[in-house]
Amino acid sequence: MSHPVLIAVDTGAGDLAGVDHVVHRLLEVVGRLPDTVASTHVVAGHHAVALSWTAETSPDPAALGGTLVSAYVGSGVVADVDGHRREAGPSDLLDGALEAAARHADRASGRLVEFPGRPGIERRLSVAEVVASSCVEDVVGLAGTVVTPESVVDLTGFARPTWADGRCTLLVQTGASGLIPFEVAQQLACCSHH
Amino acid sequence: MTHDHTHEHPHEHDHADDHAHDHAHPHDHAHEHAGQTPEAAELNAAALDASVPDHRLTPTELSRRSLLRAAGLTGAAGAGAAAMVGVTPAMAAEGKRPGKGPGPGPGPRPGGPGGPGAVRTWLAGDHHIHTQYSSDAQYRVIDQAQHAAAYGLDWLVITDHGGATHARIGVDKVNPDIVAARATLPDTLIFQGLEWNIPAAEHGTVFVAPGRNEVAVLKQFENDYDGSVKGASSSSPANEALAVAGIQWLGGQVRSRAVTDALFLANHPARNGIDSPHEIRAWRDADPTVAIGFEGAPGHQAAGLPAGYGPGSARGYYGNAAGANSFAAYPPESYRTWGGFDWMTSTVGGLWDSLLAEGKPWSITANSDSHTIWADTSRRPDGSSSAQFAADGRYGDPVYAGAINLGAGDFWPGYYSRTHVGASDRSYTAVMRGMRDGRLWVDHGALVKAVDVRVRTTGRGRTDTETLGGTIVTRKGSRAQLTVRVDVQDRPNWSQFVPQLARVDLIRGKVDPLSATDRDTFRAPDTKVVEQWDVSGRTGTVEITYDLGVVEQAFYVRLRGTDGKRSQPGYLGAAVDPAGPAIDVVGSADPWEDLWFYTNPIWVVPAA
Repeated sequence: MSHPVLIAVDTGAGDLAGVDHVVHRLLEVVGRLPDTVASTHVVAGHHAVALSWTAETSPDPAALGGTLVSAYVGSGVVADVDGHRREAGPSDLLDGALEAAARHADRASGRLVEFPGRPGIERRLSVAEVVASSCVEDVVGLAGTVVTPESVVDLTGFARPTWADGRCTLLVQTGASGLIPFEVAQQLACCSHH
Repeated sequence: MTHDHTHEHPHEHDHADDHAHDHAHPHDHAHEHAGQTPEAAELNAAALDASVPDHRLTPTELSRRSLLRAAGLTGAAGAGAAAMVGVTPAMAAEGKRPGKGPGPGPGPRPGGPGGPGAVRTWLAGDHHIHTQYSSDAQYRVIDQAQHAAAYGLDWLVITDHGGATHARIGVDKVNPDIVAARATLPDTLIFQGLEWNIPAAEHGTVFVAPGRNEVAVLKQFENDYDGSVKGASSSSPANEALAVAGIQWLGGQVRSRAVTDALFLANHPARNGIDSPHEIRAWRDADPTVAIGFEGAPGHQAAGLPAGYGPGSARGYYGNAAGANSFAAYPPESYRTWGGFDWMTSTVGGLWDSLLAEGKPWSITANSDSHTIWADTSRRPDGSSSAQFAADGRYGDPVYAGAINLGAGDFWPGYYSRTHVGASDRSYTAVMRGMRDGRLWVDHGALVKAVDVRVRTTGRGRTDTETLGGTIVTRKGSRAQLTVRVDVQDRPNWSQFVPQLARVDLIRGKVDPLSATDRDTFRAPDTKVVEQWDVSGRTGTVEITYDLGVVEQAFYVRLRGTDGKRSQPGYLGAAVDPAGPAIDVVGSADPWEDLWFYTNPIWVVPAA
């Protein structure tokens, strides 16, 4: 029997790199399974994280909740195992975690940092391969960008598909040598030393 | 960190007339604010101040208020409201007497023949330039100013970043450098401003007319209203209100005559999606005599040159995805430039048009945002560091690097981007007034030499003419005609080729001043490209006349032109814009192979 697990953490991360760091640390805390999906969500002007997987043996809700609460003191934490929910944290960040958990559950919106098939597609490959070997259902081009199943997209080391109305989409743009993801790893800081 | 940035040797000019004459003393000619007397200014200030109830006004003031009310000018608009007025509800609803210009506001009508607001000369400039007083830049004021002058600019604004260090000492210390540059370059108008971290939003240029309070006003503004100084960067109603308060405070400084004039323009508005439509409308409405527009095209135009030849980044450094403070309804396409222009401006029927379709003035500009120059051979001196900058308020003077910096993404002021202002004369106040009046067009790579746009209305023996930024109020049933004269470029630009204009587009949209019910709209459903003229191969002056038809309802027209090298259907589809600018390719966008000009609008309003 499988046991759905959904957790969410809101540390108040301010930017995309910061919230990605939260995801990676969370994956170290709870481990990663092939079907693990980790998403980030904009809540109240910052980013929160939600993560789900299906466990073959039910984790002890109290133990998982306790692990998260002790690992994220001062953050909003939600841990839901088989519908048994534990919530902790200051009210504003708990609200953020609850919101992230809800959006993760209905897949209405969100940005995926970890998802089934990710390790296999973070390279140069065809659009058809992306769709065949990951949870990405559509590869969509920015205005005027032609995308065919044969189009090659360079996802080396970085892909952030998004959910929109339940579908998982990877948005791509034209780069210097072919298609690249719309969201690139190096976001330009405002007033950076460019 | 220090840059391996380098510096091309400045174009040496023999400033033999290097005398410190009084050219830079603007107060000599600064009090011609729309031609009004101080008494008239006080009268208008009282009449315009909505917080003063009618019964507190003198009969004269009350009479003045009634006039202004009829013109839709009461409210936040301050004294000196003679400006680009667009279409006020009063014009549309009450059927103002036919005429042109701003109506019964103070001062002569801009653009009227011979009036002080007439456009007698077009002055090219740049309102977005950084120096060694910005923690991410490196040049002296004179480095920027003498390049700007050499590359043909008539005016420039020094806009170092707001922030703790600049607010504490930088804003003071840069002033003597600016004053010295005014003396060294007597033919160049050099304003002091700052790049405001708009609370809850992006950056913006704030600048004032030179005068004895220029530093004091900028310094107090920065200390009281800068988003970085005040820790007010994130999106919140309180921070948005602080931005509005800052704009109103600037207007108050003009009305109280602390400074002769002050302007605010939003910079790189769509870069990170954090300037929401309702914030832009709030700035505009806070004081339309101060908040007059945004960058139609951002700086950093070399940033998209491919790696090895350039930074290999995104043109304009517009390469991001939405962040936590971004306005959620902005599409991914808004985060990129289109033909080098910001999506808010490049999208026909988009955000800029939605502002114009309200009938409210909002101007566009094109600037360098110069921090470090592509292919320059200078760098910051040894010993430059964050700690050193914080202590000194600036980096040391740049030094020769002995290497070429192809990783920098900016051009010198005037080298690529130009903002052309129609002014009555070559003075600080005339430039600011011309900008407020909306006498503006912009181009990249010196695509054209000159653009002259007029709308003429004829009916019942009466003819009215207006140019960019103007509003013609004419009798319903009059006939409107557009005339365009474009002087095709015949001199090489700063990349040593002669740009060839290929096409001119006419954009037209319906105006409904009472339509802005949704403050977050970024659509003007009626606005579209209505005519395209192929002018490829033409030399000399291209003359176009176009019948705008019988005036039955308020509308505006604006123009756009291109070298025709890169194009795609507009963001809102080919029916709206069949061949608009193409979205720029991240990591491979050569700005010289993709040139456009854009003009401000002209409004036409039928009177009852």
